[in-house]
Amino acid sequence: MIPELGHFALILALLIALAQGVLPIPAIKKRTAILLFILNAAAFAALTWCYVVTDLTVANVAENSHTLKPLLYKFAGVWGNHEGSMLLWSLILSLFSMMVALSRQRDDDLISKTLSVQGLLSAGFLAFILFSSNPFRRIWPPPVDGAGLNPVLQDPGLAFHPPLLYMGYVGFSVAFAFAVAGLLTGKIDKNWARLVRPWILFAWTALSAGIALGSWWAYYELGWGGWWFWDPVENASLMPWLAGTALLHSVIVLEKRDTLKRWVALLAILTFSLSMLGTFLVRSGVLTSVHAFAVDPKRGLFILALLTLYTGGALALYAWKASALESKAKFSVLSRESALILNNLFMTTGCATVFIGTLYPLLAEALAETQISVGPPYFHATFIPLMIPALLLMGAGIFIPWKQGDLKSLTSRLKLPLFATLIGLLLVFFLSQSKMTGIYLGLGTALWLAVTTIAEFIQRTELKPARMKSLPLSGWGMSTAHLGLAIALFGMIGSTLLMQEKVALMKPGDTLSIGRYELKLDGVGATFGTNYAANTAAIELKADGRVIGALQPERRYYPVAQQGTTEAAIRKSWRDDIYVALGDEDAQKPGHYVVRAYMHPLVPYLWLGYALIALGGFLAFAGTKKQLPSLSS
Amino acid sequence: MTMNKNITNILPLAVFLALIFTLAGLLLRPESVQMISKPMPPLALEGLRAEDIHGPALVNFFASWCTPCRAEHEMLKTLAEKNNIRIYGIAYKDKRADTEKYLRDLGNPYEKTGHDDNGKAFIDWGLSGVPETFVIDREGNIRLHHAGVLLEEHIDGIILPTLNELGMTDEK
Repeated sequence: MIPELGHFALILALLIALAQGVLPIPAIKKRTAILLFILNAAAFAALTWCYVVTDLTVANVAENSHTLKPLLYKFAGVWGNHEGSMLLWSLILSLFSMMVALSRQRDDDLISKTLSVQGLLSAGFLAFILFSSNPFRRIWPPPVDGAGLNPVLQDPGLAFHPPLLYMGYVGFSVAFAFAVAGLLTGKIDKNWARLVRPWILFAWTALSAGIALGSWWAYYELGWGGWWFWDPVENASLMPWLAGTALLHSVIVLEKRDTLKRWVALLAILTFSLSMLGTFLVRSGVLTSVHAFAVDPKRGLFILALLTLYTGGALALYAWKASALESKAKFSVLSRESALILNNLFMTTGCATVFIGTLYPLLAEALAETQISVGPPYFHATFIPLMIPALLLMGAGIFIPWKQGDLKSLTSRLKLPLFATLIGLLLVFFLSQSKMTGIYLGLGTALWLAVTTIAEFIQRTELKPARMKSLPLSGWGMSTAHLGLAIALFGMIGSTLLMQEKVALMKPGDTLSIGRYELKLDGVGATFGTNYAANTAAIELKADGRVIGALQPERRYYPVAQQGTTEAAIRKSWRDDIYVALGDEDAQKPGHYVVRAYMHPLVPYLWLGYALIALGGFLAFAGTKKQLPSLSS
Repeated sequence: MTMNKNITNILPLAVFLALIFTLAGLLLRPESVQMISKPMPPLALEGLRAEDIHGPALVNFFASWCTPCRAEHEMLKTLAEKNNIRIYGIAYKDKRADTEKYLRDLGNPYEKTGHDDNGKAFIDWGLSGVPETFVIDREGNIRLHHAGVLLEEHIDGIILPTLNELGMTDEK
């Protein structure tokens, strides 16, 4: 009964979404938006209920859940599969549409057209769910137990990774809807930017946090000892992030200086389109990757049709209407505007290189019928060289004023940060004696970014409490996010360039040394969890010759899914992470186990940096909320 | 001037439509790219040539920089050691020293290892990434092509059954 109610709510939601999209009656749109959210929430609640009681007559539950699964993962199971995750997408879409409808904004025409676009977006995704991914499909007879969730996905980090990512992806749909509405009304201006910037900040913050959680999950759960693999699906989230970062910065220019109108509109369309493309790549199976857990070509065609309709429609509108958008503001080559335009060029070019690297194998196959692969070497050779000047510019750009900068004052303000960076690099040289140029280039960039960010903050506030108090939240947000990126860079450099790795076949009593650590395998024993059996190793850990603790890496086996997972044991410190993974017992030598050990210096700074980046985005977002009441008065 | 402006405004749409046509073409492509039951493509690499491969056997493309390859490596070793299956390795765009270190550290399940430095074999064999694995029969025909990382379910579900069908016995 409950699944049928959920299904029925979805059908009603589709009709309401169509009404919101096409009926030219602005007065009803607020009510349709609320109703649309309620119906989506009802459908989502119905599916959640099926999961909590493990209703195995529902195919989706039978395929993805199990009576023995812990309750948290029964909840997470709702969106841990294709159908449920699309339902979550639709729910968030309708939530944001309702929030736009309920915000008390003056420009009724713009808001009403935005709600129409959101209605059409909702209708498309609801149709996709109903016609190709119905989560409420019944099966008879029901299986006894259910097929279980992919055990690799049974992790708290991952339970929250998709919702955050989707809030980011779908959050950009608001900017998209506003851009289309703005092109229709011809009003993409300061006021438009004020309305849309909070949404961009919100989406960007959620996407940043979502990517960070995914990266954290890869590092701690996949057992590969890394946090980014240039996997197509990771790239699919990086592309909208890069475009969103560009959008985030150019919309500031639009808000302050009423210029870059066409560019902002185009970026808003592209950012959400890249989010949809990401979904297409993950869900259609055109790219094979570890992430593509559920694939189906029919779904791919459906999403491709939606992408064509929405992005194609928006770009056609852009081609038709964009020339009506005039930007008159003048600014010099040396100005904040120019610096932000350069930032945008680097971000979009970076996005394009990732785009090419991700899609090139597909295009080559389609056009030339040859098959090629693009691996990390490509991304290291193209993306990273682009990001270094972008980061150097980022450090200098924050010192340049709007409209017209002055080279003399800029150089005098940059003198001290430059000096501090060079001192820092000399210290690194004397302390490490490293001969790797990459280290100096990387650390130099990170240091420069950190020092300039702090110096700009000091120059702006003089560290006086009164001035710090009056600094707008957006200023705090900028400094926090930029500093976060600098700190994350230290972690990235440490964990890639300074990383050490050892693999050994060990029997109890054997030792393995790596960096400043020494590992001694005391023994391996069998343990059991709720729905898995495991081998657990007991390892004694010594640092600099002193025993500092014990590590228990596990090799788990999930009988229902017939799949094994690696639970790495990690000892964290602010200096480095030591990361140990237990492999299978050697077939030839009973009692011998494969043990992999990685030492990742500075990794904690990566997570700290990610957290600060997301916090910075959130602060700037909170700042726009504080600002709004004064605007409408 | 206005003409120019309009052209730049249309450009994003044009690029997008070209992309969509290509992606649609890819999704709708017939599955004829398959090379199943056809003879092995040419292979003349340093360390491994087509005539070196004696089926029934596996041919596994890998690279030391490829993390999924690492994930399936243990399984390949089990296949070679426990099930006595001949596996030929092809290192794709990898530095010699890295390949050697990789096989030294993780163990070497390969009968022979070829070095596909310029990616020619990769293209001839129609790969889309590493790792990918082929099952070759006694006559040197491809019987199975698995793209992506090998999991236990693939080994038990398709690789071993195909090898058994080919009369893979324990003789080596």
